Amino acid sequence: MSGQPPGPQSNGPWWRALPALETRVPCGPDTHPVRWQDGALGLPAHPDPEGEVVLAALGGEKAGCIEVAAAWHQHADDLGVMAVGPRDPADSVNVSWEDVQEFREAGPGRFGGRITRPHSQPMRRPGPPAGGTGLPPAGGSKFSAAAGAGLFPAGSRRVPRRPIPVGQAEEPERIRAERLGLLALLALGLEFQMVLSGTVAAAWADGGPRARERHAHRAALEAALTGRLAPAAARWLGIDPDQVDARLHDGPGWGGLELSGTGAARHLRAALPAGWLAAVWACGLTVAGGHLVVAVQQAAWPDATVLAVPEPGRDPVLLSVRAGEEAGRKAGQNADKNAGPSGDRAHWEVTGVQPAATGGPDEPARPSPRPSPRPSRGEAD
Amino acid sequence: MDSERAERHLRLAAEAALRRARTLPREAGQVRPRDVLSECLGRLRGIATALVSVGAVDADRAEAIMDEFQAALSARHLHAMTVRPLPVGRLLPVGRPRPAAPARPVIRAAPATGSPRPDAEPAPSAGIPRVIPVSRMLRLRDGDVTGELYVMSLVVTATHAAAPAVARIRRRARDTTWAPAPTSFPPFGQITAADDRETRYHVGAQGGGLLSRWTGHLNIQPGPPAGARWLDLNAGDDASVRIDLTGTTEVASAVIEPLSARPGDQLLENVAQQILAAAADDPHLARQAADSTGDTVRALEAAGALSPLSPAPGHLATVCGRLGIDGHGITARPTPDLPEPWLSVLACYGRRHRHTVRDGTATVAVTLPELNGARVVLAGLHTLNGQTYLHVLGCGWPASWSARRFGPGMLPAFGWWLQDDAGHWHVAVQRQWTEGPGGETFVMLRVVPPLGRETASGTLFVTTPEQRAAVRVPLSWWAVP
Repeated sequence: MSGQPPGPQSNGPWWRALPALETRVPCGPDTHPVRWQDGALGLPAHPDPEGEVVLAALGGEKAGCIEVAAAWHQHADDLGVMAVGPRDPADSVNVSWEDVQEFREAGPGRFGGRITRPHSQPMRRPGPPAGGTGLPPAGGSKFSAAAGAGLFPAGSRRVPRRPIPVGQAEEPERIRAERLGLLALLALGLEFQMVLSGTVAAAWADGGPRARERHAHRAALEAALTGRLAPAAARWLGIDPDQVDARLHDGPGWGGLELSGTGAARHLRAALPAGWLAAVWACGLTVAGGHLVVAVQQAAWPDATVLAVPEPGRDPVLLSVRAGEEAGRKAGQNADKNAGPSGDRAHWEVTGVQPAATGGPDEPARPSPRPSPRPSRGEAD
Repeated sequence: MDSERAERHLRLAAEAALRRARTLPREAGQVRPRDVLSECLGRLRGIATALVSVGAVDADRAEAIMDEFQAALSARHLHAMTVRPLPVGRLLPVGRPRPAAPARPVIRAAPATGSPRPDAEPAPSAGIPRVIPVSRMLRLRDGDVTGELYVMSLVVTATHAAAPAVARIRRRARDTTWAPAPTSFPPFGQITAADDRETRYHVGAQGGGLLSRWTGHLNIQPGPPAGARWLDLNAGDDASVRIDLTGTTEVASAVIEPLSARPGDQLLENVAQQILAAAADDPHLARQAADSTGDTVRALEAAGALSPLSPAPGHLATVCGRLGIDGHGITARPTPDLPEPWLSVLACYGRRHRHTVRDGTATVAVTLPELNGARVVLAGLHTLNGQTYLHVLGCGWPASWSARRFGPGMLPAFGWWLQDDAGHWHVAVQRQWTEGPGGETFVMLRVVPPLGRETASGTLFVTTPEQRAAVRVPLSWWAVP
């Protein structure tokens, strides 16, 4: 099936289907909050991060929060994030701050190699502090989520990673520094890992700062796409993840899906835009109500209108979905730092269905408030 | 070949390997490191090596992908994180100008008796290594240790000289239980070298051995100058060997023809050679050599380096089947029409009583014409305890062919077959190697089945990714070490 209209994959920024996130990171003798909201990372405990960066450059000590923000900025378009980061919410990328410190102190050596429990601080929704959490109130600085601005606001000019000519090995120290930064970002926890992955994907999607270079990195992007679609397709169709092959879709429409073979030999070929990784996958929207979500038409967390395919070969429909109460409760109570084995991190409930033909980006669809034909579960379906 | 498809295949293989890693069985909550190494890292590395070997993926890019994969494993506490990726080898460097392959077989270099009339090759330049047959024994005596060093030849390059040799070492006293201590083995400390101008040279040794046998080469630095007439190797007590340096460099006649097969076919032949040779030592080693060959086939096909109609996968399946090897992952049907050399070597394994050969050391001094810009010098052959080794020096081999990126289990730069004067075929695979100070590579090729003193000559077939050379190799047996 080839997806043609309806329309572009999404209206508005890719992260509209996500809530604000907050976690705490070691910073000097304390831990400080790090907040992500509206596509930007903020440091409520550091009112003047640029000034601290300057002081660090003059020989002062760089705060842990500043290091994290700098690493985020550096890796915001790094496809290596897609190679290392989670493939689905059940993918336990458990890097602790102890692991980060171990890698920092180990010299040019090793880290990991053992099974540990995650130690990263739990994530929370910004807002009035919950009783007894001890977290500082939100909006502590001009970089707070309230203003939607981060240390490196969305759209700011990033310092590009130094290109490595083919045939020239990267020097170990620089690789090590980059790896340390990536580890620190992974230590922020699963929700931040997925948001970082979405940020990277958005950088390479249409309209992103690296979109023009996409053709030269097609292999990496298609591997990232396949690696994330495969577990979703397994949940959707019960297909062997190794039998899923995704290619980048360029041009109008959402892409296409084609299922061939029978039984264990079923093979799913998909064509999806790079933006799917950001707008759909990173928001935990891959499977909703027994449908594979192929695009987000509108979103304002906790509500979203998505284009979803009930099965390969069928036309997509518009689903209205809403983040379940459980998801909101978990986020609000800092209890969801890692998804369970079923991958139910985001709990999207289908609240309405209608044929996609009547909906479009310029004419927002208004799905009928009838129940979903399948149980209203999100990622866990 | 399609490099984008090749890289895509490698990255998708990494995704599949990560999925496998996440579902590996756990013991006490932990995944066994050997499972990660064999099922995930090893298989992916094999695919990367194959794709790099045929030039479908740049080696640095493949290493970066391997590095990211290791980081992904370590972030899931499945593997230790390092900042140095596993190396992968390659056959030809990316960007290297492809030599113009002749359209028809040509015969190069000086004429030899009974050989076809050759096209004349330009006179050898100073850059061509010179191999001088020596075939002399040097008595060794160092304290309680005595022995004989059988010097096969002297290879002179622009920077140094090397003398392939085999040694037998024993204690003077009749103590048969004694074995040399590692620090005193081999006892070559007293060996010196000097030329007719009384220039003295530093002599070192590179090689190895077990108990009383040593195999390797003497390193002589610097290389004797062009005007030197002779070089003496001295081991004290009037024990010395004088080597005449006045001869000229002659490049052997060779029939060289271009290869029409895709690089994947050549690579799979190299894999078959590894399997056939390993089977001579240990079926387990042969099984290791065949492990995940199916992954290699699929990667080569995905990259366009192997035709879907190629008979090579079926040939490999046949070899594995004949040797009782399973788990190779090749989906092609075995085919009975194996190439003649493969059948000949396989027949050797089928014999209930294998033919035994007499040990010996043979003089071999042959410089091959240039192949893909590289020089190959045959510098000696010896059979010891029923195992035959051919001593080879390579010059001008691209750095990526060097030993640094290849191990015994890796895919070699060349394919080697030898047909003896009785018509039997022998496979030769790289087993030991060292790098010389000028970038030369010393390789010892294990020859299977072994050659004995009854073999007077053979024809060596050397295959590069683009050319195949056939050169006659006379064997003059002169000692039993």
